[in-house]
Amino acid sequence: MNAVNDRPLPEHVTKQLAKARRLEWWSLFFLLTIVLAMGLAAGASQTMKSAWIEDLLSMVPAVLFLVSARIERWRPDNRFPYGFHRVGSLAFFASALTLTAVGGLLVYEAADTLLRAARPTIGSVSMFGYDIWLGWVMMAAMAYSVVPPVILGQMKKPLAVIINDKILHTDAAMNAADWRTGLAGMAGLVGIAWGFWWADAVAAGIISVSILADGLANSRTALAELIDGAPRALDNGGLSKTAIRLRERLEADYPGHHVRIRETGRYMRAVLVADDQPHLDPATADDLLGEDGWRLVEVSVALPSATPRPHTSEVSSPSDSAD
Amino acid sequence: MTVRALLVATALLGLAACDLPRDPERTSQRVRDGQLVVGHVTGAPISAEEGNILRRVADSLSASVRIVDGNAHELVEMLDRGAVHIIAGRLPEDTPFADRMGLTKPVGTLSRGSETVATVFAVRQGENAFLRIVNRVIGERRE
Repeated sequence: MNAVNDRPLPEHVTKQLAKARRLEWWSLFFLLTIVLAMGLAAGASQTMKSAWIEDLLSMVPAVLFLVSARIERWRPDNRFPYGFHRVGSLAFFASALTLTAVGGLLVYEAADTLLRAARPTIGSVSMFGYDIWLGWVMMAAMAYSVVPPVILGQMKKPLAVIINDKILHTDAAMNAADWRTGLAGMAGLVGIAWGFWWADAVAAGIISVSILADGLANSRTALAELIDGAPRALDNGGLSKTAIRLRERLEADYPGHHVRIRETGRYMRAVLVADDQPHLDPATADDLLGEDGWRLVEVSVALPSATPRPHTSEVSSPSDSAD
Repeated sequence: MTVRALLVATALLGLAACDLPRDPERTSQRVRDGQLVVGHVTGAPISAEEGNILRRVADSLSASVRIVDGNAHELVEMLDRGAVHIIAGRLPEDTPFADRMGLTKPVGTLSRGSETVATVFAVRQGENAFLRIVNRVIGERRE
């Protein structure tokens, strides 16, 4: 009876999902090596600390994707009759917040450095008998840190569209943030080398504003999803075209009704509502629950299988006439 | 676009590596052929080893050494304005002023209770070329 979406995913989606999973494992592997390399190069230097923390945080969406892609397929049970699709929404929200945090952290760091006029002091290390300025070492580490996210991010974006995965999409944005801060960091180090102490902060500041904006836009979409907003498009805050198509089709098929659609993770749920009765009839609710009737706002009936687009009167049995 | 940016960065790097990094406040240039002003923390004698390093730093810039005595707070403030170029005198590596100065490699040790702490010199924040000169001399002394 709890057959909530037991439908197996179509093959092309399953394939892309598996590919996305592999990509995320690779991302985690590369991020680990980057964090390690940056950690070694940064040493005690304050300058690279924020870049390092950023790389550490950028693992979060990848991990959330892997975890939620697994959990969302768990079967519904009595305690979770709708299954676990919402895990996707939650993970999306957490990923978006992480991206926002990264942007915010970088903005703060840059502004703080500029306001205090803190001059980045970078020492040197002895390597192979040579005395090497740590700035060059950091730059090498940053050059390495730029490459994997450029490639991985480009591969993730189209996948995210096919499997309609906002976590993956946010993760691609995180990758973009990674390589941009890497490049900005390199430019900043060149500036520092030339004696322009503000170069690093200015470069980071410019990049971080766009990261913060990205994070906020994603958080907004994620929040909309969590509070049952209409499905949003993957790449902008607008309404999802697929959802609009579904609404138009259903409203054409069921005259006298309008359609409410919301999004639970990768999936959509639609409810037909009779125009003349937008809420559950209070009398029906009170009949069902007595004095707790006020809490019941919707009772819906799923479409019977292979419904040949019946007319309003045929669908609405008394019990679902309301909603 | 990324690739191009990378190339540009690399080219800049190669082009630049010769006499970089530079000092934002030109400490190295100011000391050169002039005076290396050493801020000496009162009551913390400069060891022979430290004195040696300071003299060699001055030598490498064809400068003479002038010592200015003061307490730590005065000296940090003077370092900030460039009135002294380097602070010496039993400065522990974990000095609470660490985020207002640039610290060199260890030049000695200091016992504090049961533990031993490395001591360093401090240069003005961000003066990376000067810091590198000092560090190089310290490195030579160690070998």
